[in-house]
Amino acid sequence: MTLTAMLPDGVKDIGPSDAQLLSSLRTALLNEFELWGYREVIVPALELTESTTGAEPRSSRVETYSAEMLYRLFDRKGRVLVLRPDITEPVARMACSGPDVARPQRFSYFGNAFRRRQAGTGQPHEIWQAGFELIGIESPFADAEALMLGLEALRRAGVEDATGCIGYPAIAASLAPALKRLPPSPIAELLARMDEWFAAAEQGHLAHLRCLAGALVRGGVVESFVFDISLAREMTYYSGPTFEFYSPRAAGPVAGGGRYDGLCSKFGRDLPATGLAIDVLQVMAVLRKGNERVRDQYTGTLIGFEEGSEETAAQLASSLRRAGRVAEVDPLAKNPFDLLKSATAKHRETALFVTRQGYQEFAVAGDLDGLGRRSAEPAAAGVH
Amino acid sequence: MAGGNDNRALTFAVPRGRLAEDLAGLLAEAGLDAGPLLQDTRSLLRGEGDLRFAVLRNEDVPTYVERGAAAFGVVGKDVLREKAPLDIIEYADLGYGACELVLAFPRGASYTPGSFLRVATKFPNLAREAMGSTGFRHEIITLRGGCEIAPAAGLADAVVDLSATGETLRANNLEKVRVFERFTARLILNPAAYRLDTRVRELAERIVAGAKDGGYV
Repeated sequence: MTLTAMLPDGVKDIGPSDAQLLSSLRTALLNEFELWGYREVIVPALELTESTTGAEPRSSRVETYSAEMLYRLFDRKGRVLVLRPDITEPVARMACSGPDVARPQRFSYFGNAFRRRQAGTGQPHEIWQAGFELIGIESPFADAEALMLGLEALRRAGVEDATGCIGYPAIAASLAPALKRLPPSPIAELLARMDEWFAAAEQGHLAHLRCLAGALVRGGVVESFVFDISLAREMTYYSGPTFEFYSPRAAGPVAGGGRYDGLCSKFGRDLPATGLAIDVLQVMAVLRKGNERVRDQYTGTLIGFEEGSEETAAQLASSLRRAGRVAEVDPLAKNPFDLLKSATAKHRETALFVTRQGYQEFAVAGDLDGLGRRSAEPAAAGVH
Repeated sequence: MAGGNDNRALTFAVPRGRLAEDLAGLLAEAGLDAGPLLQDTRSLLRGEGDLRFAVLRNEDVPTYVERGAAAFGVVGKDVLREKAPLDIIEYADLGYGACELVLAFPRGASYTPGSFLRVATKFPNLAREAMGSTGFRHEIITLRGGCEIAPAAGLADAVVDLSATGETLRANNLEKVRVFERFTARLILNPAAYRLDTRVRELAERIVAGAKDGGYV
């Protein structure tokens, strides 16, 4: 086997087209978080094992968390490190280690996380998360904000058909088996019947859930949510309501989160907190679905030259770049035909072939892949 | 999604073999057309209209459901336990297909606790957990099937296997010395399909009602 074909389980390279999509999602999501007051933080990929409660086992009912999910390694002192299985815990640790500033704290993040999976399940071991944490508010309004922001951010990212699901493991735990089998219900029905269904639950949790549901009603987004008592994200740190978002275009959740009031005390400050993480690879799969052949946009210019015209080509390229336009020089294309072929493959908008007599400019036929989606613009102005 | 867009057929992942006929009876009880399930055909994706069946190996059913290729599945609890953790909804115990996980020795063999056993099994995770409770030191040998012959062939000293009637064990001159667990068939659902698509919930309820009416549970 050649070395290039060898990769660890569950990881993959992200090529230019997907990298561009990932990067535009990063911008769109962080911008939306920012509009709600969340400031981006960047936390390490490595943590001490003591700082990690556990990976999310992504298991609704069947099994509990297992430590086998962590990637571990050693530092030079022999301490055990883990590659972060999620970003919530590092952010919580950070929130508890800085100066105890004005509360609440609102942080957002974008990054990768690592989880070992059973072999042969096709699940990625490296995931990408865009998320936010709202730290220091006990009130259910914080959870409502997390849900509404999650919905808004997913819409902004292009998942307009997202539906949020709310669960409440602490209430589920107090129910008789028959009630644990309640089907998912609209929020209006939840509000009307929760006292009857969840009579056995602790009043504090009931009041929290009622207030959260009420806030969704007042927010005018209630149609985009359902309640399902069976939603139990078994991440050990969740203490209140839990969330997942789905799209009819995805098989699994596109986002997940919940309230984790006990976690921060592990890091020395007793701070209530709630948050949500969007699964960026899932969102990308949703956006690609049905649009598999939509490529990245055609941008920039590919410049080729005949022998002896390197200098002219270089000058043209720099004047284009000064005008803010992508200019890629291709010394391999020896004639306009090769250049056009290469420009098409690279999704360049135009191609310039420089000869000693001057240069020819070509608009790249962007619909060569049969889509005709490229908006053909006239060649860049001000260059001739 | 999840074999469950409103304008798309729902996919039902079902195991072929032993469980298929019982399942067809149960689905008929629920008023569903289970005919395609029993067709003598090599096509493994069957049925037209709203519901189609993917006829699969037992252990592949949870994979289809977890990954959203099927909205429903029927599979033994043994497989769910072996493959855990899974992100699926274990919706109902359908009551049929009962079998037990047993430790079996060649007839006449006796081992004292503490002795070392080579244990052949199709279910390495279940076997590892079960053997831990026996007091035998052991090594697990994972086979894809047919582990009953492993002791006679000299590959193993014992087997941990599923047994419904005990017939296969007897036929291979094995006797069960311990029953670890009992398993039945379960109806499982893809969580996203369950929460987004009301058709999935309705159909699941019909199947559960069918299982009750048919006296399966």
